[in-house]
Amino acid sequence: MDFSFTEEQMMFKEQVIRFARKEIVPRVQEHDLKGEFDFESFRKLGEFGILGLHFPENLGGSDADVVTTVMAGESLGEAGVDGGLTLAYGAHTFLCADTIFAHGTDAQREKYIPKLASGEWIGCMGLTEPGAGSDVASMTTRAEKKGDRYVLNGNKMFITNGPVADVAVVYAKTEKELKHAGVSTFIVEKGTPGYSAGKNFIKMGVRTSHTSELIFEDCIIPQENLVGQEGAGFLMAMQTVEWDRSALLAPFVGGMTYVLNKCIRYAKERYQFGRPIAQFQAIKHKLADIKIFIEAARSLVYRIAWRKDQGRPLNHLDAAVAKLFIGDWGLGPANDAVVLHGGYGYCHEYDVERNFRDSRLAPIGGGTSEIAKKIITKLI
Amino acid sequence: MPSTPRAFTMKILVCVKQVIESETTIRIDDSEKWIHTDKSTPYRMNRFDEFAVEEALLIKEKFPYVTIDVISVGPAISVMAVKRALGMGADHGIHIITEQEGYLSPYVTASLIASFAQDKNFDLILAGVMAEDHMQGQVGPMIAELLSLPCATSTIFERLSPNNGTVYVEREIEGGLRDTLELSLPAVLTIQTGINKPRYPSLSNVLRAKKQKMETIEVSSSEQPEPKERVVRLALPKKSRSGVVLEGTQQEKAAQLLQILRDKSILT
Ligand SMILES: Cc1cc2nc3c(=O)[nH]c(=O)nc-3n(C[C@H](O)[C@H](O)[C@H](O)COP(=O)(O)OP(=O)(O)OC[C@H]3O[C@@H](n4cnc5c(N)ncnc54)[C@H](O)[C@@H]3O)c2cc1C
Repeated sequence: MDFSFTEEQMMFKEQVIRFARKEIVPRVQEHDLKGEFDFESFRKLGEFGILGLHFPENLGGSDADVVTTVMAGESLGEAGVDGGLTLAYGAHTFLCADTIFAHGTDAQREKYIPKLASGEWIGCMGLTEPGAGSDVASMTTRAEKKGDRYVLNGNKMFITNGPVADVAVVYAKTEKELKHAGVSTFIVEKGTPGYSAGKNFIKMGVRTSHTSELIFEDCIIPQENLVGQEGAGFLMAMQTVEWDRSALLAPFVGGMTYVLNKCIRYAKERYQFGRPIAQFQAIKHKLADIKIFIEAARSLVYRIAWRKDQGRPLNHLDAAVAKLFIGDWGLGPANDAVVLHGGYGYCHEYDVERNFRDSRLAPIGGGTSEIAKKIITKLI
Repeated sequence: MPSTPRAFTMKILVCVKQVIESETTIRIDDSEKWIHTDKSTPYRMNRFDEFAVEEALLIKEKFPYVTIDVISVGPAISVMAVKRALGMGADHGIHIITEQEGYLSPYVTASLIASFAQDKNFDLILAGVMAEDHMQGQVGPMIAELLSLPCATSTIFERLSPNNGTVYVEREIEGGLRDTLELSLPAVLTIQTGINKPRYPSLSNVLRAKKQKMETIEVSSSEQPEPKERVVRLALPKKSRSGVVLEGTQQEKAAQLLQILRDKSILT
């Protein structure tokens, strides 16, 4: 076992943090407050090479391994980038682009990956439906084959980047009667007649990511936009879980390091009862608790990344443990950070307030904690 | 330097320096001649040099037959500046390792670079206008002098005409005015900030840099030319007498200062 990062990885990490602090972080508060997607920052992520990091160079990527890719996500969080932008990046790169890359034809890859890697196009992924969340195989969006086309009808719910996306990877039933085996995957481009996105939902956290319904009304998709085989869609959706439990969780973990650093500084600077609050044991323990969470969470996330780099299959038990731990156990430290800042921690100007709101998504998105626990109990 | 057939190859040398991150609080060491450093001291590439590297990369984008060599003179830590330049997209890296940490005379640096460069047929040598630590701005012009090359300092715009063997240069001077010059190649330019927007190293270049061989040249103190000056003593500036003097331990003072800044709404 080797837990060390290479010199190049460490150098890259430092670059990502330096880049994010300078180019992105100064824009976070304003966009979070207004609940606005930051197109400029998103484009900069593309320019810097983050959006396409793990894709091959000939498709506009950098050929990064999974550990380095996870490290990039962690570093964005550590630099102070908000959970909204990192979620938008995650949905774009891993849920949308990677599905096309992993299962698409050469023509599909060449058409979409370079534009998604550069950030010229924004991607989203539509799986959840108004009536099908945790029980996603019960989806009712239909894709009926008519000659050399498919006709899509139905609604997708809570789709990250929905309102801003140029390309959507959409799951729909090609066989109505079947559950998992009836799901197929389609690429739908913005502007396709019959396809529209709903209004951005006003959310508690991750506010700089836009979330909406996707609506399909007799939306005609050419045969060539089917990804992989008919009926293979559910497996593709499940494959994104590997990314979901590593690269999409990494920014939450990095974000907690950012918060810890803020807390340490504040605890040393804030005087009450004639001394810095850092000298009170109750405060020290909170700092220690946050650190303990970070280190445990990092090991879980990097283990999943490392397995993927080794070409080993996803360990579903590990994945569920990681998801649940970072989601549920992260809420305590996020709360501690607010507590430690007293009244200031409740105000927008102090990033711990945003982190508290952003963190609340981790136990919901990509499968709830209840479902993770269900998987864990089934597998132990 | 004999001229090379320019339509086929063109070589640029960029001089870079690794410096202590300027936001670091510095402490003068016991010798009173240098700054105390340890493993945790943060370093970075001299910001001025980033503009020089970027300018070389922009030239290479325009003229694909250009190759870019990057050189740094200094202790072991300097290799990071060269690696960063390779990460940005430079082709070859050279590190002239000097034995000692501490003050390195710009004359020594320039001499070592000049003796490296003299038989390499560089068409253009770029350097930052100065290093942000000592701000002497001497290395570039001294290299030019040692190699008998034309030199323009404070370059804020350049346009190369490889076929004519010239470079057109605009220099930034007082009051936002510009000096315009034409230099014959080979030439030395020192690059002013704001001439471009330095890129961040890309991961693929960082990984590629790993595979590229770095040329390392060791020079002992005896092989170095005699410096023309020496550091007598370093001292922190005297405290200014005006304003409020805070009392107490460092921590108490810091806390009072924060309170003042918050009260004045400078910090939130
Ligand atoms: C900000 C945000 C972004 C999102 N982005 C995307 C996206 O890009 N693409 C996409 O497809 N989806 C996305 N989602 C959807 C997300 O994956 C779902 O919200 C999630 O899977 C839960 O589904 P649901 O909301 O329908 O809740 P439900 O499944 O209705 O669950 C309601 C409650 O019941 C519990 N529950 C359900 N079943 C069980 C059970 N068997 N045992 C015990 N408890 C159970 C749940 O844990 C939950 O507490 C996003 C959601 C949010 C909030």
